[in-house]
Amino acid sequence: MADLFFFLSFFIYTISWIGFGFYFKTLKKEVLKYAQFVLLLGFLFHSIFWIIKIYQIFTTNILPFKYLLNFLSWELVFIYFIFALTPIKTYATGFFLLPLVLLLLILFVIFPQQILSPFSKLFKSFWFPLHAFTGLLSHGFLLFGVVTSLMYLLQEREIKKKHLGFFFKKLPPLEYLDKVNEKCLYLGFIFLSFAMISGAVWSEATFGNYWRWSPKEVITLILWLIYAVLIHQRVLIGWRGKKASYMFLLGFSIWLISFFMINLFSKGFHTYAS
Amino acid sequence: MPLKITILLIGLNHKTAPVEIREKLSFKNSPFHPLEKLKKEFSSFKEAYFLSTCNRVEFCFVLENYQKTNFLTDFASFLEKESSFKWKELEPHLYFLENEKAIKHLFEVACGLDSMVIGEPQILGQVKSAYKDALNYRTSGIVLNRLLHKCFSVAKKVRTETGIGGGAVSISYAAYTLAKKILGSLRDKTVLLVGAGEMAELACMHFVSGGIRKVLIANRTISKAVELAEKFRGEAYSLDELTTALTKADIVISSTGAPSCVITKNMVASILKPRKYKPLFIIDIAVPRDVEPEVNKLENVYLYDIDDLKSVVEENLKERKKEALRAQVIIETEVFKFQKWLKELDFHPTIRALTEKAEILRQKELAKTFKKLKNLSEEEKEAIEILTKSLTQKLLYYPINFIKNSYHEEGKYAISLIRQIFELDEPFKEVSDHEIESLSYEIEKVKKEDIEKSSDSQTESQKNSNSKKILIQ
Repeated sequence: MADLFFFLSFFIYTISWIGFGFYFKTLKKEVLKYAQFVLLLGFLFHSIFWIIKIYQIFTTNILPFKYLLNFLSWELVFIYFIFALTPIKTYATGFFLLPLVLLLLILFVIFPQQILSPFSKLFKSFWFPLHAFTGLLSHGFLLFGVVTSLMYLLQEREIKKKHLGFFFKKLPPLEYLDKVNEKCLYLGFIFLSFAMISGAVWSEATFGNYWRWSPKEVITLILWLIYAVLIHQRVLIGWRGKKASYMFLLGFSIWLISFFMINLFSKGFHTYAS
Repeated sequence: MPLKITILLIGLNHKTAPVEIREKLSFKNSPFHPLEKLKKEFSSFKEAYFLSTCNRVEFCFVLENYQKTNFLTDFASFLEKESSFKWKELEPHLYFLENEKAIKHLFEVACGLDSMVIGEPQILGQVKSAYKDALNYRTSGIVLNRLLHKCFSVAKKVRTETGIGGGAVSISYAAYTLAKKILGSLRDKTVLLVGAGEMAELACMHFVSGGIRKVLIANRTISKAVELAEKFRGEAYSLDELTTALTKADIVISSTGAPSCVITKNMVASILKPRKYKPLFIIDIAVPRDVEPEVNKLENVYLYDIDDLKSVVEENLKERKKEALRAQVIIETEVFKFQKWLKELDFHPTIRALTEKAEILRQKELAKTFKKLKNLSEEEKEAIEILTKSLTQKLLYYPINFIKNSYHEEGKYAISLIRQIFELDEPFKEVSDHEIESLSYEIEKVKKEDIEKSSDSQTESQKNSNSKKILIQ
């Protein structure tokens, strides 16, 4: 049953991506309307998939690593709709975001089922779901910010080099992309802080200590510090645009390490491979 | 089959005629509309339309073929009288297009393909108001109505399906679109004019109509800055206060006549921090340049000088020319469709065939009757002749009237329907007496049924009498 909804949503996302491609080419509002409607439909199916899955996870106490990828892709679509509702018009993001969503879903399919969470038995606590959810949400905002940062860099390059080519007309204004970046930054930081606090509280409740300097914790702390520096510089000095975009890319590479390398290969706390 | 009518387009534009001739023929200062006068003085045309813009003057007429030479002499005398030019002087500047070419030209004009700036949108509005004039003076008829409506729909199609209107093609508009791509909404942004010249003022107009929040003006002579500031309800600065003004601005339009750079890299670099690195878009339209080119290398500062903007415009024009080729394809198919419609419009052959067929039938029936009634006097024969003639004529009145009245709405449908009903496209075949007999038997049967039914219910009788009427007709 859940599989059916998964494949449906994957299929519909693909169609929606093609629709966004047409919108990107023609910039017609009608096309956008259809593409977004299709995306919403896919999102509904995806949500149903997750409702079923969450129920299964809580009844079986098994959480394979690959479901995190799937959940991230769900979040990215969710964040797209959040930004689509705000007055900042950056609809072209859909065209760049959906490949990432589809890539995550493909990774979800090809990842082996056996890699399980080491805390499977410890799910039934108030803090653990909160920790996982806020953590993943902060990753979602980070990834979304990476996509808009890439768009910003593309657009900036064309304007700065005075070569107004294909992307100039199609991409949203620099200011709008920067505003989305800013919001991703603040929201990502807030959720990452939540994840760290709830994780610490949960760790204290289950293992008896708040912080144990495992690789995952260290690298997350680095990520959190990058966020903090970025916000500090943005508010006080005005780091924005290109610099902020590059910082997002730096944060992204650190996230890649923390999410894939450490979760899968390193020994210790948070490791799924054991 | 050649058409009976000719669509004739006579005109001149910026390519064929100098401005002295264009302005004389534009009728902008004349107390009457040319269509009004043409309609009063000549009757050699059926429909007429007149378009006058600053780059073109065009007449379009629909006339009967045989009146063409007549009409041309009429028209020549009319132009001579109105423009005070000799016809011989005028003729080389005019273009005369007929039928297919005229239709194509009208479409191209409406799409802006024939304009000085390719794809400009104003021309469509001008064509529309010219059509309105033609309607006002009642010189537009079936053909022109259809043709001009087609013009509007073709122009719309071309605009939506090709990028003919895409991209800015004037320098100030190119600057405006660039600003929008950098700064997004301009509603909370501030423009700074450096140099209170006319150029800056013109460039600023786009931003003002685009809803800019505030205009600052910095000028060497402060009195001029104050003057302009009053006009835009902005603030005036002297050039010494340029740094302060730059700190507040998001868009800078510089056009001083200064021989060296007014805005230097150091100056801009020093204001970046107080501005918190907010993006700054500098447009330098002065020659020699006012802004050091190095400024473009600063973070979040975008500098475009006049040459950069020109190359943007040229790039857009090239793009429009490419799109114009695609537009031509659309126009050509539409011209073809319109010509087809024109041919179907010609209803005369159908009416002729219809009357001929009726006449043959009448003669045959008449001959039969005269054979049977041998003792008729000449008077009686004549009476029967008149009777049959008026009978066929009265019966034919309905289909002919149908064609004439509905051909402008339904066009080919009306004509093809009549041709089918009366079998005009098939070889003549006499209806045998036997077939007629069986037909009359059927009519009798229907009548009988009607009577029976009408006694059954009163509500049904209304319907049946209707169907009876149809049958009798």
